[in-house]
Amino acid sequence: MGIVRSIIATGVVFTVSAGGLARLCPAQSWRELSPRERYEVLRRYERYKQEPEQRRERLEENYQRWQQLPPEEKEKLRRRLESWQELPPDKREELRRRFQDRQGQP
Amino acid sequence: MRVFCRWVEREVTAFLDQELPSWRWRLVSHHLERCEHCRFVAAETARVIEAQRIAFCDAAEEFSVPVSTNLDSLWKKLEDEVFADPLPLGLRLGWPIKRIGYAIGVALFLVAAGYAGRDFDVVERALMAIGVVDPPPEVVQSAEFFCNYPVIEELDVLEHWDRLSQGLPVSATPENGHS
Repeated sequence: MGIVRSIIATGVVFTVSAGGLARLCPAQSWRELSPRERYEVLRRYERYKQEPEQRRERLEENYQRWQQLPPEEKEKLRRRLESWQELPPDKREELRRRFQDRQGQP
Repeated sequence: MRVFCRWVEREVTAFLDQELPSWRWRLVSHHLERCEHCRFVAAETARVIEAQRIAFCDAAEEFSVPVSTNLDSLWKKLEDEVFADPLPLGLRLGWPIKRIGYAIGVALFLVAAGYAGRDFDVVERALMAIGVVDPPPEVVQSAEFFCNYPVIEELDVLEHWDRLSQGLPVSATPENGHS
C-alpha cells in the first residue's frame, strides 16, 4: 500500500510541477512551502549550482540588492518579471545585450 | 542542439497542455514540424503526461477528492494520509522500511513513465518535495533566495526595464496594462 501511495504522490509531483512559467513563491521559508513550490525551489537550486562562480557572485549581489528594496518596488519588479517571461527568447536576449552595452560589459 | 530547440523543450509541456499564447503555440508547432529531435521530446513528454494524468485520477479517487478540485487540497490529503504517523513510538521503528518501500515505488513509477536512466535527479527532487528525503541544508537556509530566484536572475534588466525596453512592442511593457 505504501508503494502504491508513493507512486501516486510522485505522479502528482510531476503533474503539478510540469510546464508553465517560473513563478515566485509567496512563502519565504522551506517549511511554509507547498510540495509543488519545494519542487520548483529545488529545480532552481540545481540551476544555481550549475552557474559559473562569477555568475553566482553576481546573483548573490542581486539578492542583497533585492532584500533592500521596499515592498512596492519588489512588487513592480515582479510585474516586470511576468512581462519578461512572456517575451520570446530573441527579445530577452536583445534586452540583456542592451543592458550589457550600457554597462560596458563584455 | 540549437538554442531554439532548448526553448522549445522548455515550452513543450505547456504546448501539449494548450496553455501557450497562440503566437507561441504556432512557433512551437512550426518548429516541431521540422525538428525530429523536438518531435521525439514532445512524444516522450506526452507519454509521461498521460501516465501522470492516470496517477492523478487514481490519487483523487483513493482520497475521495473530486478530480476537478484544487490540487492543493489533494496535496493536503496526500500529506495527511501518507505522512501522518499515528503509531506509538515503539512502532515507528518501521519507518525506515516504509522509506525503502517509497523509494522502490518511486523507481517503479519512473521506469513505467520512461524516466529511468534519463534524469534520475527527478526522483530525489520529488522525494525531497514530499518530505521523504531531507533537502540540502543550503536550500532550507536560503529558501527565500530560491523563492525569488527568477526575479533575482534578471534583476539587472528588470531594474532598467524602462530604458532598455524602448523600441519593444507596447504589450511587452508592464506599465501598459500587462501587469
